[in-house]
Amino acid sequence: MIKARKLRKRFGDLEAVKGIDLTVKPGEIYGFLGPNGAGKTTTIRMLTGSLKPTEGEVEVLGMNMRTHEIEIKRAIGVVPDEPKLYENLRGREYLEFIMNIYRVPRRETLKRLQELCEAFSVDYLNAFIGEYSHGMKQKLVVVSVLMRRPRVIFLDEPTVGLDARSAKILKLLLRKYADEGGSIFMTTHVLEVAERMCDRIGIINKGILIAEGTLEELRKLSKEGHENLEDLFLELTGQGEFDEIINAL
Amino acid sequence: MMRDFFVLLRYSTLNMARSRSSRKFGKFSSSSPLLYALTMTLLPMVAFGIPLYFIFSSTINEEILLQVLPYGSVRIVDLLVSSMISTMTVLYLLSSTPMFVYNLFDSKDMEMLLTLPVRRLHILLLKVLESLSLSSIQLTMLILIFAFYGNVVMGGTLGLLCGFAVGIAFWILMLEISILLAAVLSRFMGRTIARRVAFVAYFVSVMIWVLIINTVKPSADTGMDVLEKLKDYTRLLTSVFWPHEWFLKILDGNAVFLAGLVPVFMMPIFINRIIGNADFLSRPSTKRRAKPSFEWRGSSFPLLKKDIMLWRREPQAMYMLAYPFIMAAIFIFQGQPLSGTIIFVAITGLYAAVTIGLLLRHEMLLWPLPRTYPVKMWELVIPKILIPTFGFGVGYALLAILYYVLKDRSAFTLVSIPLVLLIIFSCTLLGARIFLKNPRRSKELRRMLNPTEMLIIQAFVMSWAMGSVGLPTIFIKLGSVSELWKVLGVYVSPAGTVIWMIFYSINAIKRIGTALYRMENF
Ligand SMILES: Nc1ncnc2c1ncn2[C@@H]1O[C@H](COP(=O)(O)OP(=O)(O)O)[C@@H](O)[C@H]1O
Ligand SMILES: [Mg+2]
Repeated sequence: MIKARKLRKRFGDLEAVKGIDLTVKPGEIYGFLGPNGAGKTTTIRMLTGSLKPTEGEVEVLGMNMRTHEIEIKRAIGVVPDEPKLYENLRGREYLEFIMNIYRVPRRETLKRLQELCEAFSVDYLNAFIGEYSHGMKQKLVVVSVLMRRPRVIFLDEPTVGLDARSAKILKLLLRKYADEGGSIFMTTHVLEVAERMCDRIGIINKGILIAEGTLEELRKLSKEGHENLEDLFLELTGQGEFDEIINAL
Repeated sequence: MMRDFFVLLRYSTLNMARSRSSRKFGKFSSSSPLLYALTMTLLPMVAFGIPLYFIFSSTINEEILLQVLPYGSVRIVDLLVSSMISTMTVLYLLSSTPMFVYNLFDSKDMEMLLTLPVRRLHILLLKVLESLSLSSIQLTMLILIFAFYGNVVMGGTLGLLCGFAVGIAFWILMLEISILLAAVLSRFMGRTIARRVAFVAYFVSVMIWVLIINTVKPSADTGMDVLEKLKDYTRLLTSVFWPHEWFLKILDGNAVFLAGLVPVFMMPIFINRIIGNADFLSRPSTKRRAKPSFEWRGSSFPLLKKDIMLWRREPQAMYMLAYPFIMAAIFIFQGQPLSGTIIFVAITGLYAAVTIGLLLRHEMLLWPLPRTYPVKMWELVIPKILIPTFGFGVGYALLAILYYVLKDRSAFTLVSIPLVLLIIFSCTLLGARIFLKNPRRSKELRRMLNPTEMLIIQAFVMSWAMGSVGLPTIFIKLGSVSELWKVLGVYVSPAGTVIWMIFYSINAIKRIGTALYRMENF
């Protein structure tokens, strides 16, 4: 459902993403794992059409991003890394705006919205977004995406601003959507999140996809045979010299 | 105790001085931020205050001031000073109170400040001082009027100094009252509401001021009416219920009113009580937590609807819409339609450019979210062009038609409508072009466009307005010019300007397109 071929992005001198190939199948939650600044956000923005790749092709739901950008955007859901919203709108008005701009079917969406608001305890829709906390905004964005029930969902660090309960609910919902045939692409820099939520994990470092596979495959791939993912992750991203650093402190 | 406060103040002013990032003051500010902040506050006071005082006092004959009015024991000076001070007090309270609330909430450092081991009163004081420079001119005028009064009724330099001292005491009382109000209000108001109230209150106070100026001006009533009105007005203004009267009476030598100083010293205790456990942090009001009803209003133009909503809620929107129309209406119906139209176009042209900037800024603040909407980049921009063009253009059309029907049936009034519409449309594109040259702009409206950009916009607006509307009207009115000049002024100038605007607009549309394309890679 999501396909990227030789995806590259250059910002001036800096090459943030250096030729990434990836495929996400229906029914799969794909975890894109990497340290800060690895190029996760840049990749997700190219996959969702909000950033034009310097090179490479993106295909979502069988459509090419170059020729069917608007159609793709209408079909997918995106939760950006920072929940920045129109501060002078009320939550309700923002949701209305999203429903209208995506031209969603009315009745089902409202029903889903009601359920989602209850699940995430979003009871502040009448207040201005400017008064929301970070977490409240994050929940509003999540609700605004999930109420449309897109078949492909992209989430950039979705668990960062959420409380434990909401994070758990989101996790369960994403699992349910995937089991019903949807595709989910999420980035994270937190290992546990990738470990617990994702079917397949890609590890990115400095713009290069250095390893990819299920948890099992990744463990096999590791030459030293690490039991937990953390050691593997640190080894792959070349940050294994912690002992020295800790000892020096 | 106070040491804490000065440490706070020093770092706060350091922060302020830096963020202004003015090259001229660069060195100065880093060496002594406190000095810098003080200078920035005191400079306008001195620069406005001293000349203002001389102009004020030199134009008034003291002999007349001390004459007693034919009703009661009120002197002319009492009436004059009371009316000025009461107006200013009201304006000051109206504008500064919500400003304080807003500053309390808006300060990004509040959360940090609250973790510090300092008293809340000090934090509040700090925030008040930070926002003081905004009202320094009002403050100067208030104190000067007291000094003037002291000088007139007591006489000599001593009177001047006493007046100055009493003026400061009165001002402190006002400040305390507005802090008190702010402390109370901050318990009910969220940040968004406070900000909107702050700006609306500011403009309402300007409107009130304009109204007062206009009502005090003797109108076409008979002389007796004016006198009667003045009598009521005097009674009201010089009543001892007004705090400023107590302070004026002190200067008048009435020792009883020294008691008026008591609240000045009592107030901090009250304030301390009220803010004892206030957290100054904005929280969503609990009242609104009612279960939302999921009614859903469909719209075929969701982007336009959203932009109109955002524009309507922009604190300056009301002012921007009201101000040019009021100005134009005043001039047009006083029989100066040309000045009215030119003033209107000059103001709205600038506002149209600022409006589109404001609306684009809303999208930039959430970038890249708007890029995930299933619409083309141009579709994001078009509503932002339509709103100012039609908001101001339709308003002008109504005004012009009204004038045409009621007063002057000259064809030019009607011809000016499409011209004005075209000018505003071109200005909108100009604004968009300038904004998109550097889409990452300050969040603060004051710094959204830099002075050079404002100047460029104004230059374009004025040339377009003069070329298309100004020159032809002038030449139609001028009787004694040669035929050639008349043809040039009446036909060539507007035609040329219209062609220029059309070409400018086409070019601007292309450039905005490329700018948007570049923005895709933001
Ligand atoms: N718009 C931009 N302009 C220039 N450099 C950018 C831009 N966006 C991201 N980068 C750079 O690209 C690299 C990858 O960033 P990003 O994709 O945000 O990383 P992360 O994996 O933390 O999400 C970083 O070095 C960042 O500084
Ligand atoms: Mg990121």
